[in-house]
Amino acid sequence: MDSHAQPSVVIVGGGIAGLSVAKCLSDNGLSCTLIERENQLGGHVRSWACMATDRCLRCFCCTVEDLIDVVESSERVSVLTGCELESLERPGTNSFRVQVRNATNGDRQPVEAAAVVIAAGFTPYDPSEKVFWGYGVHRGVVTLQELDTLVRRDDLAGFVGESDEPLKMAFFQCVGSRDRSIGADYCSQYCCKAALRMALRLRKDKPDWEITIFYIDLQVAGKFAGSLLSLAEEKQIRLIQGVPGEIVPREDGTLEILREHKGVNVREIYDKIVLSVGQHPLPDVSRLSSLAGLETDRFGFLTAAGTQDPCRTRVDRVYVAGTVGGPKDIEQTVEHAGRTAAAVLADLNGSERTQQ
Amino acid sequence: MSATTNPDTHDLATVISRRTGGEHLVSCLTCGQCVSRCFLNDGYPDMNPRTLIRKVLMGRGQEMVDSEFIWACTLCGRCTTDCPKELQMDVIIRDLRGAALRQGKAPHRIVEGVETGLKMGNNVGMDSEAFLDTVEWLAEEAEEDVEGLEEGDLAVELDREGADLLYIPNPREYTSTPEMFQSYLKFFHYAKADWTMSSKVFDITNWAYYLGDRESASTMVRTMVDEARRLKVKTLVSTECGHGFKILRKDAERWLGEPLGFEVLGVIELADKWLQEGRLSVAPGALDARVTLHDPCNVGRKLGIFEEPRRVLKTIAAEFVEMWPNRKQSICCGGGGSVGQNTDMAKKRLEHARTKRDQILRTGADTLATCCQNCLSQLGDLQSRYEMPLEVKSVIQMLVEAIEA
Repeated sequence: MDSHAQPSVVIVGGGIAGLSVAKCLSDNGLSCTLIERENQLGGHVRSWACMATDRCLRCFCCTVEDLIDVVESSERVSVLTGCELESLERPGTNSFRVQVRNATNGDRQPVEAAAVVIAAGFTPYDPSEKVFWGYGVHRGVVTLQELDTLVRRDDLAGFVGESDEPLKMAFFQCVGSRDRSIGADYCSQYCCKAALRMALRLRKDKPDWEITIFYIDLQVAGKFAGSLLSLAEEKQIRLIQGVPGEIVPREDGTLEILREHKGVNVREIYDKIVLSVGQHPLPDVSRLSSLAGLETDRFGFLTAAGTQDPCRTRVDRVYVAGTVGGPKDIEQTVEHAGRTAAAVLADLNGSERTQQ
Repeated sequence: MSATTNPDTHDLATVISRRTGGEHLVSCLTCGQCVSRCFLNDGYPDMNPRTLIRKVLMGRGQEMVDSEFIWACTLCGRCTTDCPKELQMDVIIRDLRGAALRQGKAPHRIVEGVETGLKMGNNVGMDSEAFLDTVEWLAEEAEEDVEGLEEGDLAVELDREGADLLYIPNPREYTSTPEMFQSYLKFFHYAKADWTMSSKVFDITNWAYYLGDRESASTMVRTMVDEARRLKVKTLVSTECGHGFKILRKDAERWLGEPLGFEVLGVIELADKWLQEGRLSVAPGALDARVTLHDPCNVGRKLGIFEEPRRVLKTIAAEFVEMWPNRKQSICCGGGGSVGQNTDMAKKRLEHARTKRDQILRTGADTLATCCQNCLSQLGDLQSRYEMPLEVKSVIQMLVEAIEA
């Protein structure tokens, strides 16, 4: 095939969604340009830890390294890290001119494309506005993502200390999710499973820690996710309905909460509290949506064409992949990205046939 | 055509769900965040806001109607601050109280206060003549006491049409704390304000609101609104009062179903504005005090007035220290929402406020300031009950002291 006639696809975002799309398209003979704002590929997942205990817990964190390897070694994928999408023009019905700007040196580079995939991801909720929980004020309160990164770097001791004393750690679920008061009245879909996996992962190395998950109701949908719940029960992870609404710091640095237990208000003390923060839209999602001519939903995620067409958008040849369109866990993100790639392939192959 | 709600024939959950602020009742997630935030959770170990909501939703609301808990609640709203489903506990409690009132189970002292208020226009039963005499006498006394004040400086012409400001006091000022009332007289004098008071409507409070008696509460609001219109003022100024100010500012238009046609300001907002404009002359740090501020639930959490009292205090006092938590997360003084006036709660309200006491003591302040008469009363009682080593003062009182320093 003449390489000049080869349609090229621009993918905005080099996290697992963008990487999955790039792999799938390049596997099918398309060339792609992958634009990533950060200086390295991999997005959030790159800094998260494998949650395997004595068995794989299907967190899918490992997928990111394989994807990076495949994409970086592929001749068909051109990777532009440290770069942002600056403008998107459409000189012809089936062609885009994408202006890419290098964030460090300001250099601009035009890329021609037959399709554009937006896979820009999400931003983790910043819980500091929830003053009652004291994130950023009380030492000992961290987000699940921060804890994940500590485990990944094998630096848990930097947070919990070197002492051998058993620790009491609690997870607070639905932080920044299912919350109408902040415009995020949706389930982030990954935090329950992520917290359960993290609790099990910690249990492996710290058998004497008391680990508690405070939840509203556990969302463990999925073929394999249910087993996390039975594992948690088997491994004596305390699962308690109701999320404490206030964390009160004590003079010795420990954290006091109040909850209801069998109809009576009781106080409990914890050493560390982990806020399982939800997925929120990117802060600059409106810039992206206006550049691409897309719409956002009432939460601020990019809107896809429809429930049965969750990867195409109102703009022909512009697609969404992954969490930029709404919260997902890693497995769902990879699945969604696969569907997006399939839609791109179908549309571009279809137009090729029409041209012939 | 919208269905009307008859409180006697509809279950409580339905009644509450039709209120502004109660519409999300059924969507309660039982997340439990409210449980931790209630300052009554030690006083009532087997009760908490979530349990209350569960009972109402499960058709057991009558248990709550019969409970002491709904009268121990101060309507502070802290439990449902940041509620993921935006429930408003104060709205829910007032409907439960309304049901108790109709069943003859409301506290007598509050019921009588409302009856007096409806009959006399104020809850202390003072007539116009007695009020005029009191105002005149308090003004004269203050003029004599303060160096630099001339005879007639503090005289105020009541019922003056077309004045900029109509000031409505809280009866506490001209009954139990006359020095407080004199502070407001002096405040308006020093600011050279174009102001008046009404000889008929001189009570900003609304105890019917506490009882969940919506009809009487609206009547009381209507009386104040009509008086401001009759006097053709630009602004109705609320004294340092929590619920009275909050109702006029936030609820009155919705209750009456029409625009008020004038502005509602708190005297605390005027103080901040005038101080910043240089209309009041104060030497910075004039008061040699280490002062902390108690955010009143109505003024702070419900109206979002956090910075105004702070700016005033930071200007006039040598040192300002914050309590933790503060502002929207502030802990209630323990005397709001009728608890301070309810003789049945006289002892318990001081026991329930231990968290507040500890929070105050941790600041090491020698002066505790606030901008609500109800909070002032409760905090004063707390001070003497627990012998806290500090003075309790109103922000305006301190401002006037600073001007005179």
